[in-house]
Amino acid sequence: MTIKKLLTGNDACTYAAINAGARFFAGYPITPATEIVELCSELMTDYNGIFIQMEDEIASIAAVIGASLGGTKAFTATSGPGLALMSENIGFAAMAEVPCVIINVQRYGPSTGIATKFSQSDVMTVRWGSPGDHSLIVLAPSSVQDSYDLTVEAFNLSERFRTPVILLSDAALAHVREKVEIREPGELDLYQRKKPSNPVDGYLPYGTLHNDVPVMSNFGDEHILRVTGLVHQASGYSSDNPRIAEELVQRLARKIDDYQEELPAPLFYGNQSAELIIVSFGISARASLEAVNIVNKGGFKAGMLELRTIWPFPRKKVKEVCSGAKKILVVEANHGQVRELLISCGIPPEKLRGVNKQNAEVITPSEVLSALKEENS
Amino acid sequence: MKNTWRVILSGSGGQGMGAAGKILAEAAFLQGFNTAQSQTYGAGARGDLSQSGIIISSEDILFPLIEKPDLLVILNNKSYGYFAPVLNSSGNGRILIYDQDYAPLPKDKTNWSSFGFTVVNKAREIYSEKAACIVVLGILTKLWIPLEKTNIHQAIQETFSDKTALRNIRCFEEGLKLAEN
Repeated sequence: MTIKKLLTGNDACTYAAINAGARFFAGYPITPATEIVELCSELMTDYNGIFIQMEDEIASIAAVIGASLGGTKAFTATSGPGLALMSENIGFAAMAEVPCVIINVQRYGPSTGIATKFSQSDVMTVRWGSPGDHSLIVLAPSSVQDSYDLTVEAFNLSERFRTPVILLSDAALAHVREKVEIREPGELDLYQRKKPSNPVDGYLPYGTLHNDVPVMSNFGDEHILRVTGLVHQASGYSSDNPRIAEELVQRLARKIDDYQEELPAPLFYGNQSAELIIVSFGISARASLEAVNIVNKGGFKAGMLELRTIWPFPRKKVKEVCSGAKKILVVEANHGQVRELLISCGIPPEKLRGVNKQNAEVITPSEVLSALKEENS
Repeated sequence: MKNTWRVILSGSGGQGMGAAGKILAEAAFLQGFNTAQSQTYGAGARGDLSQSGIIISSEDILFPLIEKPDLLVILNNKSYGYFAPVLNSSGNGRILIYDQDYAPLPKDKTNWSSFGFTVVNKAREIYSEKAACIVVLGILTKLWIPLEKTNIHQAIQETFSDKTALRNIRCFEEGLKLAEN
């Protein structure tokens, strides 16, 4: 059944997680993600799930990893300072290939910053927060509906790729109420974790690969599972063999980077042949959309590319859309983190203009509109 | 025909900005409108300046927050300071509603169409200052926003428990009466 409701972004994420099959939540309340923790504490028991308020964020992600290794879809929710504490174990989940979802509701930083205020400045942190070479999936919703849909998608992708997936929300989106169509479990395409069909004797947890992703048993199954953050062989036992190490870390990147077409694609709005193109994400994409809509009604042509998958960065599509543009406006509430990524795609810096805001307030449609008008004149 | 209303309720924390904003959005949603609602988050919601913003529209809402309201409700003096730039800008078609006891309109403050009501004292008289913004909902829906009374009632009942809901419905009904006079 599909139900229509008026929900906040945080509530939509929580309902989505439950409907995607998550039955384990461990977290430590932090503004502006607290409502997710709060709602989970109410809902999890209704669904025979487990809710634990942990002593901190290190323990929270550790418990989530443990639950997932036991075969349960598990998640946590946090914000900047909490995400920083989770970094080591997010790397562990990437290395040991443990599916899990982390909802990061961005707030103003660095450090504790302004707890209740908005920012979009965790673009790089979510990708590079934990040490070592590995890939990772990060999705960015721009509406409450998107918060629902992309949270469901986050669980599917984490199971499909056996990787941590981070949902990059923000303090503004987390608290705005909008209409959401809630597709219930029967209406959702949910990815079921693959289970080994090998004989139990001689089972190698990292030995059977499907599209570069290991088909692993759960803790407690008859197939014995060995898990470590150390470089490991197919058996799960640690190794310092250079060849094994190289093969492993290259596969950790390849298993996601080579399958990017399975990730939510960027959305294009407005005029395809426009010389002025906006690249944006999250709530800033909503302000950009309104501005693009206004100029396209009368005046001049503009287009907007909304990034939904932030990592791996959708280079191909971004390059394609930006190739014909005279000027590209990168609208983001940070110092220019996505702008740097566009430069790394080979787009000449002189074609780029950052529309940035760092005062803890959201970027408004009229600010984007002024930037568009200036570039058009 | 007007098809989008951008409303901001502004006053002191505890005058029901959040609850009334949510109820207004819920009633609009029940009536099939698109809607987006936001409110002060953090210490302000408990302190001297708290706000709630509600967009109601028969069209898609592209940006869910309010840059400039069409209907601004002010229940304390401090709100005039906060909204000074907005009130100094063109008031063409824009409306200011203020509490005439606690937020009397300063002279030459704005060229917006302005209307004073006894909102806070009315809410106190019937129930509590907490329902001041619920009284405002009566005024807004009677004079400007075409929402059915039954939808506001339902939204109130979904928000509060039985006894509190009845008290809030009385406050809403008083708002309707204030608007008639």
